[in-house]
Amino acid sequence: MAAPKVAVVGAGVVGLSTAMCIVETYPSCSVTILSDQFSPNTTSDVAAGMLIPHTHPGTPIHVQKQWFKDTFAYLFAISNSAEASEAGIHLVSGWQVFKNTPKEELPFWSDVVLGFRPMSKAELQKFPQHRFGQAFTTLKCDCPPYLLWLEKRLKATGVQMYTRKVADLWDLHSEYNVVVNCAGIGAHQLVGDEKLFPVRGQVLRVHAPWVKNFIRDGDGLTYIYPGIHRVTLGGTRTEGSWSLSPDPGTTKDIFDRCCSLEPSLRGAEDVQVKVGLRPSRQCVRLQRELLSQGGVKLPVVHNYGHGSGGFSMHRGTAKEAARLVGECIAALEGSSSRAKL
Amino acid sequence: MRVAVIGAGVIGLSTALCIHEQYHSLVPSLEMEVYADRYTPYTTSDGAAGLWQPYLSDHGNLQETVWNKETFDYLLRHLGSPAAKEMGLFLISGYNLFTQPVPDPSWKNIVLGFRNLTPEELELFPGYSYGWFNTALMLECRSYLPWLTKRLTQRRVKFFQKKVESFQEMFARGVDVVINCTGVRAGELQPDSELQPGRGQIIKVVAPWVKHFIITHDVESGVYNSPYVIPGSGLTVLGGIYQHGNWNEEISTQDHKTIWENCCRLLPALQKAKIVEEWSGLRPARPRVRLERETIHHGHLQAEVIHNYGHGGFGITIHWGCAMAAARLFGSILQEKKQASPPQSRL
Repeated sequence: MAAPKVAVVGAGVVGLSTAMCIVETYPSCSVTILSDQFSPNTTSDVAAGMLIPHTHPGTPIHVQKQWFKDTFAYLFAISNSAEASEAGIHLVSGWQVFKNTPKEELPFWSDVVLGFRPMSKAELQKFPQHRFGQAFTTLKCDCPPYLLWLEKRLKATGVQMYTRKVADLWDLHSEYNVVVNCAGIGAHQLVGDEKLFPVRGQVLRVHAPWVKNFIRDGDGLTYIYPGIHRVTLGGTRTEGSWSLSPDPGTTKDIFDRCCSLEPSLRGAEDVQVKVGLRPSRQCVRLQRELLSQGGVKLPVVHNYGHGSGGFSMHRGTAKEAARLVGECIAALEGSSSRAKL
Repeated sequence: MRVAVIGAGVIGLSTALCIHEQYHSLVPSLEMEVYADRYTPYTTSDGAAGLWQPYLSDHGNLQETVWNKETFDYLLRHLGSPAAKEMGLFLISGYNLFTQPVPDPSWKNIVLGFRNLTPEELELFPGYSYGWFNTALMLECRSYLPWLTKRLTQRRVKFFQKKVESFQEMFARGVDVVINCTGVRAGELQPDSELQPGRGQIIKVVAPWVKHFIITHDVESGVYNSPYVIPGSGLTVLGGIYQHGNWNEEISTQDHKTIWENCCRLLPALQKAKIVEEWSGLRPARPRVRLERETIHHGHLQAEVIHNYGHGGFGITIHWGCAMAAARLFGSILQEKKQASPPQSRL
């Protein structure tokens, strides 16, 4: 099959990185990205982009660890290169603190991030309400820069991008050979996945350039993540809420919680409020599906449902999705050569 | 009791504040004045990035290690206070890099979370095979000196823009105690062959993605002659120049090239950073800090000088410990004056 035509639906971190992996692995493919939103209006743009994984209950730990390792290694190399600032990738050190000692003292990713160790007593003194903590160094992907950098590299390889709301994957069957579904929370409507649900996150983006370290409460609800220009303060995890409107009461609550972890934030300026819906699922849907109607077939690769772990797992799942696209293309080529007989 | 502080860098202003805080209520007649030819942002302190970090070795000056610790602990206590932002005070983590294993520094238990670097971390820094990670403090003098000035002004301390030519000049005005915080130019008031300039130069860039300090060390080149990158609250400071005995405060294009090339090699992403400012200054280098009393006789009178200068490249790091030591010396002067002249009002 000459130049298989692949459509990637979705232009968040998963869509763009999946397109990138397809282009890298199957350069003969013609890849097009279709999305109703592009940066700075994707869910990814709201996320702080910290490489601190969340555990998906439905995926084996060793798989999640491999995805995280792949992602970390990929970003680590960029952070160490001249492209780091354009790509928005930077190292950041800090602390994860717990009011009560966690059940799992060593998370599965502790040997992937850098310098992971328990906090010393002296370090914990800064957090009088917390009794236990972990110190480590990890990476942060600032958005929009990271997404824009991916878009730039994709365009340089000839990938086309179109603003288009795809209502049904089948609509694409006549124009494309393979469709990759990276629609994130949009998959709920696009493919009717009832197992996909939003976890609403509200964050504040403030100007506080003296904050150089991240601080995260182990409960995952309160966090301070310093980005290139702004510090992201969070947050919320409201399951089932589809509201994209910032809530002023929540804003005050987030600010107060973060100030109790880092009092100097009281001096933060220019508070921007953002809301994103984490596309949550028991496990990431990373699998092939063959749609068919009236004898016509459309291979689909699903890569959505990353929940809180989009950034942490994006490159690893993108590589797997690209591999599945390769399988789809091989299957198409196999059946088309059979058809010639 | 008239006290004149000469010098308005981090040493002068902090010593003034420390003495005033401790003794003003005990000595109601205390009148304090600050004299300096240069004020913020034109002092040596203003050019420093502001990272709290002593030299690798204290050369047996245990007292200096104690003063460093006192300073760190004092600043750490202020971290959570509302004043921290105005003071220019914040926590920062980072790396010290070496080409060979070195003994742990005297300050390893003063800073937070001191540890050796892992092999994965060293991959970030080709050419360096050993290193440390720790969390320390930044105290930016462009904020700290104005904060100190404000505190002093509130206490009605007076400021004079004036180059003091001699201690006698002060005594002739009726000053009882002079606090000599004149830094690198202390030799102009009293010759000191041990005091030498340690010329430094820096480039300030816009590189807000850098969140760690990175200090490299080259045992052969000596302290600060190896590249360093220190991110401030606004700009990031690139440096790595230490020229002993060089009094030239002009920017050197050769030094600029050295700093730029070395720092970009250390952190390739810096190649894209915009250069905003350059500065050159003279560290007041001395084998040890001069922190002592001296009684100076003029005519049939005697007056006291407390010397507090020669803090090299660690002035910010050691300032509060020295200020408190200077305040103790001031206390002993007060004690002696009290014993020498008992109250005569009883007659």
